[in-house]
Amino acid sequence: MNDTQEAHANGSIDLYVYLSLIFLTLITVSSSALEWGRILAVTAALAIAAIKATLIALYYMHLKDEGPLTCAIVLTGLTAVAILAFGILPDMAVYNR
Amino acid sequence: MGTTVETQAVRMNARNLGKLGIWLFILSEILLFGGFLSSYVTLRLGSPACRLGEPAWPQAGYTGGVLMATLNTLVLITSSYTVVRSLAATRAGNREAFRANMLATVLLGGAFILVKAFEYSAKIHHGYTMGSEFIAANPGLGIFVSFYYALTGLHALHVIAGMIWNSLLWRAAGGVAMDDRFARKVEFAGLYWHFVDIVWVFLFPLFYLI
Repeated sequence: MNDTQEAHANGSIDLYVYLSLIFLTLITVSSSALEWGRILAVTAALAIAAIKATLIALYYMHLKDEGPLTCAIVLTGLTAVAILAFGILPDMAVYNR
Repeated sequence: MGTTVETQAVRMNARNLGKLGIWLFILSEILLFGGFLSSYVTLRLGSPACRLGEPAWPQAGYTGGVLMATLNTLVLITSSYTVVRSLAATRAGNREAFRANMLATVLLGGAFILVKAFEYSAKIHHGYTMGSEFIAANPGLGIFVSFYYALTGLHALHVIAGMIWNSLLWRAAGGVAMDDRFARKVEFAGLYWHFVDIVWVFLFPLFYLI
């Protein structure tokens, strides 16, 4: 594939990602109107947000083309946030009984 | 010949070091927003007044707030796309396309801030501020409202910083070559802008929908 073809292919992927992000946003808003329980509502909204963030990171920030060092930096941040978020949950479960 | 190879090697190192620097900066931002968001989620999980899973906003002004936030989400996603196109234009050496896309990005950032200002105004009008009669009557919502202003305000400051950065690049593009060096600067600004977009992707459902 020459440079022109590659640029064209990348442009198409960028457009598909953009349209997917718009579609997922509309899904998030419309699904929030459904009465499907608290746990499911939170899980669905955050799962869609995670998919959108992954699309942006992989394709717009080109994380899929980055080396192991960059991936390690991102994983360090995500691990720290996961510890913060999930580390307190057992305590919350005890006090919410 | 030797000098050319050496120059190329120096440029490669500058590119890698610059990119490493911007990713480390993004790491610090992940920790900043991640810390706030973790506290916010945990707090709402344990709160009887604003439990996570149901919108915490009272009915008054709720639909208007969601509409404005949805519009802002679409605006920010579109601005991420225009940044991607501006980088592609820079790499193709197309100055006009770069300037058009980067200008669109800056204007979309401005639109985001404008909508946010309207939204803040509507919320203040409904009395969703600290010390108001509404919060005095609903003390459990005070911490939710505080988190809302703190996190959306911090995010808005990041949008403004990105707008300034992108504006400087748009202005600089008039007088510099569309070479690797300039493409690198656009790439770094783009990484920051996309990160700001990712933060909003999480703020949107957490503050408006659930």
